Amino acid sequence: MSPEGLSWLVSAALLLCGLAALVLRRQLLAMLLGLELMVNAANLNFVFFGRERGDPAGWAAAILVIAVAAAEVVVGLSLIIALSRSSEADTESIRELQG
Amino acid sequence: MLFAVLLVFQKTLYGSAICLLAVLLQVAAMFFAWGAELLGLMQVMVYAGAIMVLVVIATMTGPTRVERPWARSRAGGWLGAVVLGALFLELLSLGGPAAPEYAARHASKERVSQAAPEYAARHASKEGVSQAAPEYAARHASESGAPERAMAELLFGSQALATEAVGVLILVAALAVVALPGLPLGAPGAKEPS
Repeated sequence: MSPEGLSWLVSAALLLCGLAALVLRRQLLAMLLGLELMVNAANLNFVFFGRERGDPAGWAAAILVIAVAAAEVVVGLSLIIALSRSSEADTESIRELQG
Repeated sequence: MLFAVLLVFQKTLYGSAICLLAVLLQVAAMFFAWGAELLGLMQVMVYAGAIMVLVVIATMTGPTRVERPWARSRAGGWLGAVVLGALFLELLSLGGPAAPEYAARHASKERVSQAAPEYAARHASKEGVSQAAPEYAARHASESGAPERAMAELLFGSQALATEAVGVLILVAALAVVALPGLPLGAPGAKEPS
């Protein structure tokens, strides 16, 4: 298999595993981990195809994605911790919005 | 890929976090193998370092629960597996024909490795640069370091607005982290924080 095909295969597998974690798991933290897996799959493609095409925009996009994902995780974790103080951080226990 | 599959089927959050850590380290190793040392280092430091520490701390603050996602509904599980398998095949079929077209479209683009010596020569002739600069430029015009240089030019040149926007986003995220734990979140009638 060509390196391009291998990269595509790995990133597709990571993306689908992340999607499966997002759909199957009910704990918010586990869903967040699945989301991180999907972000990494996208990053893998950015880096590989940026290198293959000789386009630095792919690597620049990967850096920006890492920064955005870090911010997303920090906000997500603080939300989960705030929720777990008052109830279980579980999608089944969060069914109603207040206000 | 094995650890990514294991992440889905772990019973506890600790197991999932360890599997994610393994996946992140493997992705960093792939970045290193592809010559993207800077991105590999960032992956290790930001993801495998900082984010995983936060995830482990968040896991420790919550109650320990055992979850069996695969044992919820047998029919739904099979349906999900079929949908995911179809998506996987679709993604694989997209990867083959789409790539050569993209390559042909971008074949005329300036390559990073070709652009690097021009960059080095341009910056070596600038006023105010010390005499060591041409040697530095010549040393850095080689393959190693050239993509990072081109990437930095892009990030702080034409894409500076996006870089600034991401910086503002991180600042807002930091403010949100300070403000969010004080908010009364959760279902009405739930137990109050002690």
